[in-house]
Amino acid sequence: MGMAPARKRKKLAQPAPAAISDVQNGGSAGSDDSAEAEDIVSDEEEAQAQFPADKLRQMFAFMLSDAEDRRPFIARFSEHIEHDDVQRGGLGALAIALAETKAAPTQLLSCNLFHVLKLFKVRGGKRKAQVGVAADAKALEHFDALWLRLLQLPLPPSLYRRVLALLPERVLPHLRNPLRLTDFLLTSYQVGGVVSILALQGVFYLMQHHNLEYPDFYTKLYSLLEPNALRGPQRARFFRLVDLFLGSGYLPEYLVAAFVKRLSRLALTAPTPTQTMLIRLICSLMVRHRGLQRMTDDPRGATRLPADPYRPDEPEPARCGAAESALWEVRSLRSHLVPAVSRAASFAERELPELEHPLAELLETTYDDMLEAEFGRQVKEVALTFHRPEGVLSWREDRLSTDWKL
Amino acid sequence: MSVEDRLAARFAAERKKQNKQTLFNLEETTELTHMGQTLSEIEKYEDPRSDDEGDDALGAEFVKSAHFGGGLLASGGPNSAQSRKEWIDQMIADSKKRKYDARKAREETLEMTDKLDDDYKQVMQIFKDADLMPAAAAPDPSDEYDMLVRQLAFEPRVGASERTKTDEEVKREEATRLRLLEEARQLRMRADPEEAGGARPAVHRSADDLDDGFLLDAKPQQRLELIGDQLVVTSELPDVPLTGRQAKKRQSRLQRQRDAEEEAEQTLPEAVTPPKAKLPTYKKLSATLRALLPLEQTRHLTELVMSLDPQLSPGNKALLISLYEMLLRYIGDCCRRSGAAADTGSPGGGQVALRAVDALVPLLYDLTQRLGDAAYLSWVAWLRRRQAAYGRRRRRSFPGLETLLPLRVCGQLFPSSDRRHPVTMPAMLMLCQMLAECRVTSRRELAAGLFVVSLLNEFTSLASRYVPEVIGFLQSVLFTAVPSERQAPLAGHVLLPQLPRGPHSSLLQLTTSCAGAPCEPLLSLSAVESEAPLTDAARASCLHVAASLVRQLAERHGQLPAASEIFGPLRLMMAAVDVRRYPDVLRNKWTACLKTLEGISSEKTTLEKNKKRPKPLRLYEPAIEENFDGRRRRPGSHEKREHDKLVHKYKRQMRSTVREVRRDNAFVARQKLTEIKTKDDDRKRKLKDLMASLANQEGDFKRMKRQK
Repeated sequence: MGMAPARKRKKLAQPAPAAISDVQNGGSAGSDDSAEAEDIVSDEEEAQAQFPADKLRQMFAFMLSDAEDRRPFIARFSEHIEHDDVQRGGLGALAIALAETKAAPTQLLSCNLFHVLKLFKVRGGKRKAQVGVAADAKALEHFDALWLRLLQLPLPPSLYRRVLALLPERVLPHLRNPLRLTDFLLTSYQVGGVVSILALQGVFYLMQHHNLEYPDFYTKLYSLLEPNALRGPQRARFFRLVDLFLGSGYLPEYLVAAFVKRLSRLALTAPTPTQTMLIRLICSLMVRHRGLQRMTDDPRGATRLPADPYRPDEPEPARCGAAESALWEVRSLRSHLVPAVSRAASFAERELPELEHPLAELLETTYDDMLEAEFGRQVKEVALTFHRPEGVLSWREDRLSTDWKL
Repeated sequence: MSVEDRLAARFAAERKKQNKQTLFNLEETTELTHMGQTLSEIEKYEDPRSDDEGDDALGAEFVKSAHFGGGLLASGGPNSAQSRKEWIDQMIADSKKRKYDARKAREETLEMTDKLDDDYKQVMQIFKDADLMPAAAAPDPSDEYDMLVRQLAFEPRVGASERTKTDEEVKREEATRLRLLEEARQLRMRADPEEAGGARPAVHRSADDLDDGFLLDAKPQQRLELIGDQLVVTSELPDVPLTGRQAKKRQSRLQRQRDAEEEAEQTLPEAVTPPKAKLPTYKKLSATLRALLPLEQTRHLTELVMSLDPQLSPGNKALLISLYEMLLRYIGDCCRRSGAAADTGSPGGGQVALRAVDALVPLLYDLTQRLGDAAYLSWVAWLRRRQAAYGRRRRRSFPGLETLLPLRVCGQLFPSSDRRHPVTMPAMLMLCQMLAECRVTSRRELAAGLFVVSLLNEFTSLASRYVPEVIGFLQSVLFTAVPSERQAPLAGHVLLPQLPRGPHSSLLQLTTSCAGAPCEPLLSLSAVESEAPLTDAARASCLHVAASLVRQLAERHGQLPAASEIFGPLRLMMAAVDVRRYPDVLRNKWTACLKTLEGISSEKTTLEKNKKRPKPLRLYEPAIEENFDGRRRRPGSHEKREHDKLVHKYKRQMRSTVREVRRDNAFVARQKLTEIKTKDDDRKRKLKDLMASLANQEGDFKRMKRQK
């Protein structure tokens, strides 16, 4: 323990950007390191006394600027965050620096604060981080206060999304009263689009661990399943959560039927790499709720209906009429161009499998992955055409030359 | 005993002693000789040196004049002075001399013959060493007739040729060939190898496998391979199908080899004896071609291909492959040139470049048919390059004709209807990716997108497969044709990255009313490269093409169970457009298309699974034998039954042998035991006797002591 401060000081005294040397010019970097190293100091207080908390506070005060982006400086500082004493003393110093600073609550301040705060991870969380702040009461108090303060500041949209992404796993489990974030999360959840998808996990955390009651949760989730949920980097995260939320076998069947129908509508015009995943998800839901088999196998036999009883515009899953509908979309995807999709869609024609398909490996498929798989496929014999073309546009059935000319 | 008897006796004794083993051999084995030669040799009369010649050494005339008194009678006058004795002596001397002379002459002749023989043998040896025999056998120059006869004699005989087929037969054969090929294509189209069988051949796993990823024969096996006209040691198994990566590697290796060959060709001036076809470098070739008219280019290339026929030289195949790759590259260059020409405002230049590609396609088809797998490798390498080039762009935008037109050609060379084809499948996926990722902001991108949709439409037409990206793209394109005030309720149908925003959301709205204006129904390929601004005429053309595509798709997919859901948004968009502003041709097309879309019924039939037939109960059939004769017959062939019989016999023998051996062992053990017992008894008896005699002695001794 006694070694740590000495080593620390050495590191801080390294040549640093101009900003660091500005702060450091009053420091006492020239103390006798070897003498300190020799006598074993076990006293906690003495260790704290030797820790340059004051200097750290000054650095934080510098970082929490309201007019300038301090990210390069924070990146430089992050090299030292792995040290125990910085982790221990850091949060306190940051809290003091934030309280003392007279910075205006601007978006840049919240940006800087977020990037500093992001460095501090609480040890023993879900991820079992080895490095991080020990979960003692004092540190957690600071942690709690700092995050709540951050959420009160005005957040620019991109930062808003990043905060939402970080909350459920890194922050919520360590807050003293996570329910204080309920309003924040529920407002975000109502926004729609990507923000809703990001807030989803936080809301779910509160429902799961803190008995938050949110009766419209599934209705909202239902409305989130729209074509644009299939785009962007949040796709894998979102569908992993959807799979998780619909994992219970105790959900009412009408609700699951609504989700199944919605997902199959989504799959109909979804980009190819997501289609296999969607179809597999539908198949998993049917395996969990065997009663839904009537959507692929009508007990009355084939019956003619004037139109699809499903109403896609109805926001309420209970009233959308999905239970009377059937999976014509999945049946249509049987004639999909890509064999993998077509094969996945064949579940609607066969007996349901006993077990669900694991979804994880399909969540992040892209076109490039599919192409790579296609290029890497083993080839025995390559078939060739047998009609000699006369030119680029003129071939035997000439579909191209009806619309194009040279 | 006389000497002769003695000799005979001795001869017999010696013979007996010499070969005791041939004592009872009745055959005469001793070779009798005469003057050092065996009789059997002499009897062949091969040697002309017979000593019979000596008999008439004196000559017939001398004998006639000298013998039998003729001499005296005939030569009375001049020789009368001599006495008879003298005369006889003279005659004897004379005849002796004659005989001597004759013998001498004969010996000389023999000597000379031997010498000649020896010389001849030596000379022959020299000839053999020098291998000049053929020169000796060279035919003497003879007249033309002889030569002709000889030629005819050695010419290979030609069998009777088949008769020339009539036109009708040729047509019929061609039709049969096409029908067979079409059937094979249909099979490939419907086949889904992983689904059909369900039972994939299990990969063998040893029971001793430790699951540590260790492969016993992971070391690549080496083998010889003929690449070009050189033997090369390669490290691949011959019949392992190529994966794409291997193919790439192999491709690059071949390429390197070819490059090396090319270099060698450039540096070495005609040092190789067989006439080798030459392939110009790409720069030279494209420069040559560029100077020619499109049709002349094809002619030039056809000649080049003919000179590179693999039957002329084994190395030509590699050259042909590299020519194929050059052609792919040349097509890309032509397309790029057409774009550049369109930009500089000379549409003629672009036309020429595209015509060149147009004319090249049949040649490329022929080459592909000839090269087969090699062409596949070239195409895969090309596709990989294009894909990498596409992926490098940060902002995804449609590639130019340089990529799109070769993709079209690819669809003409390889069947796109196959369930999974190694060339067309990646090509189609690439097209899908473009449609899903690229945004339409300009005329060029619009034209490129429509061309991509046309390509996919063409690719999937035979197998009538469904591509969701095509529908999505057409939705986003038609969305821009909808008047801005009606766009809001339709925006939900368009996927996000393609949702046109700002100025791009009115890309296809006509700025002025064009009713009555002419409309060009066909889009030009050069539009895919041109950066010209979007005019109303161009908008009308694009809308025409889009409507035509929508109609084709609707006709093809109209029967799908979810067709009304697929085409619903498109129908809404097309219906929201104000058609009155459109040119007549476009308006007609538009309404026809809308009609097709409205014709798609929203009626549904609930689904039903294919019912499985119930499994019948297993019944035990009575085993009825034909020709029952009361004997049980064992199943199996004669050999098998014989084998089984032998096995049975062997087992029985083995069992009895084991039993015998066990009995023997028991007997031996019993015998040994009795022996030991008798010996033991013997010993005990002797000991007893001994002890008894000792006791007697002791008794005697005591008794004597007592008596004392």
